[in-house]
Amino acid sequence: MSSYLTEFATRDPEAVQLVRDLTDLKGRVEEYRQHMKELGEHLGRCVVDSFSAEMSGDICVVCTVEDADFLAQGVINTLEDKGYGGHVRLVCLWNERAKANGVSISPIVKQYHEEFSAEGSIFVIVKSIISGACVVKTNLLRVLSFARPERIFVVAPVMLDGADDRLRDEFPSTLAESFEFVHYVTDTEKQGEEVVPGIGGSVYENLGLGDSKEKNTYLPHIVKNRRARIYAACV
Amino acid sequence: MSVAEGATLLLRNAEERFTAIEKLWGSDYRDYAKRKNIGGNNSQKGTRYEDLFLAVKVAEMVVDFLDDDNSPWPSVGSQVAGLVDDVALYFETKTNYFQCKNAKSVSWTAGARPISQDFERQYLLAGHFGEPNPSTWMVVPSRDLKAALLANMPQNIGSHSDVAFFPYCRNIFLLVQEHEFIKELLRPLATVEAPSDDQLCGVLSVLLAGCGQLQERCHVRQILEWSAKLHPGQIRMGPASKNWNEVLEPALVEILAMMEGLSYDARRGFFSWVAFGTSGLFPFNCSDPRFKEFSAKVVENQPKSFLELEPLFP
Repeated sequence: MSSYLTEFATRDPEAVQLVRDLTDLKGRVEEYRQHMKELGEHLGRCVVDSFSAEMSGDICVVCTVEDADFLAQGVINTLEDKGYGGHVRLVCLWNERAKANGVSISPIVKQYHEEFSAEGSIFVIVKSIISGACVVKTNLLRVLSFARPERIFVVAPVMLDGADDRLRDEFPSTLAESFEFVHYVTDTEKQGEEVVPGIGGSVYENLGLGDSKEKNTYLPHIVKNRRARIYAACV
Repeated sequence: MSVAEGATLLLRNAEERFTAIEKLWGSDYRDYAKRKNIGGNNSQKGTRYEDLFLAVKVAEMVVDFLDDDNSPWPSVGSQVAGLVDDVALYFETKTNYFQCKNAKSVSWTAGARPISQDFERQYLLAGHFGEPNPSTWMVVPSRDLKAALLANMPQNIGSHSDVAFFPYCRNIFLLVQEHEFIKELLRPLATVEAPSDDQLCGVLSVLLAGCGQLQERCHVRQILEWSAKLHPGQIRMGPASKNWNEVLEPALVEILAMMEGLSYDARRGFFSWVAFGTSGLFPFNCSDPRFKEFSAKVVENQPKSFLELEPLFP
């Protein structure tokens, strides 16, 4: 198995160490969750560093249910620390995964969606690992149905080699050319459905959320808290 | 032709068709047709243009027949034993054969086995088997090429041939995003009233997966059933004319009606809901035992608010 580091990794060795540590944290749920949150904070810094001084639109953080309380929470922590908290909008999506006769789909069965402006917004698509890009492409297409953003960041600690091209292939070239990928490690190998060393196996299980079915019964704290702030009846 | 005769046609096997080809045009032509068919089968997984065209044709037929209780569903064939063989549609009153050519230029007459000859002989073969009103279609990925092929169509096939435009896209996501007519086609098949593009991709994806089960020929309704079973919750199964909201248990409806901030919809046979920025879709239709189980659980638990209802969703 082989992997290589990206330009973001060379600037942030601490983040690379966090990625490497993930593979040793199987069965240590709290530490794995904390590592993911910290990785989100590092990735958030990479995103914020690229903002222009005039940046004023909504920042729409788009994540899956499993990443919401950990990696996405980390990204949002950084956005808040850097003074962008008032711009943050959250979209959390619950995906299923299925494959039959060579056709893979990742349908969204549930979503939490905070309103954001259709003009001038920034999308930050957050995912713990990007391999086939099936979930990311579905979730990106869903949020594109709400707005055409000014910038689209695709943020993950680890990506499988070629995942960026696979994702671009699914969108019209004018849109795909605008994708900005932020990740630390590119892995080149898969064993079965799993990227190795990747993030140390099934992210749902490492995060203590059960299997692919059980994780969809989870209601993230970040969703509960933000929803309660917006809707008085949801407290 | 009666439905029973149609069913007989459906059962006609490939060998019978190859035998007819030999009888009509000799063993050389039979070998040629067989090679064509084997080539098609071997490369089926990679021939995306044909695959997507087939899935879209199936979608068209599902749209046309899902809400029509009176007409018998057509059958569809893929890589059928014959000379125009990519996709075949067998209706009660007509039979359409399609040859897909994902190319920049196509000639009717070039080569040792010109396409026009295949079209002519496919028409004769269909007539030999008594198929109703056969027609042969060329499918190409450019409107200019379509116009050129129509302008240059040889006289001997003009009475039964036509040319169709179908865009070439690398994948379903691009096909849906780039072509409004595909979105329009798929919208009635989604399980929600206002589907987003990813949900339309879900509709076409499950139909494509369902077509993967197709062994030469089958009824379109069968493909719909395979598709819905392979990936539940992606495609509407029942007629839009049915009032699906009436399928819901009155006790469930009563509980939901009392719930502040919740709206729901079952018009397409699937229960979808929206409340406080959160929304979802029950992945099985309202007649499915799994939905009935959920409904009974809600009635048993008597939730008074959305926050009490939310944990009961799967």
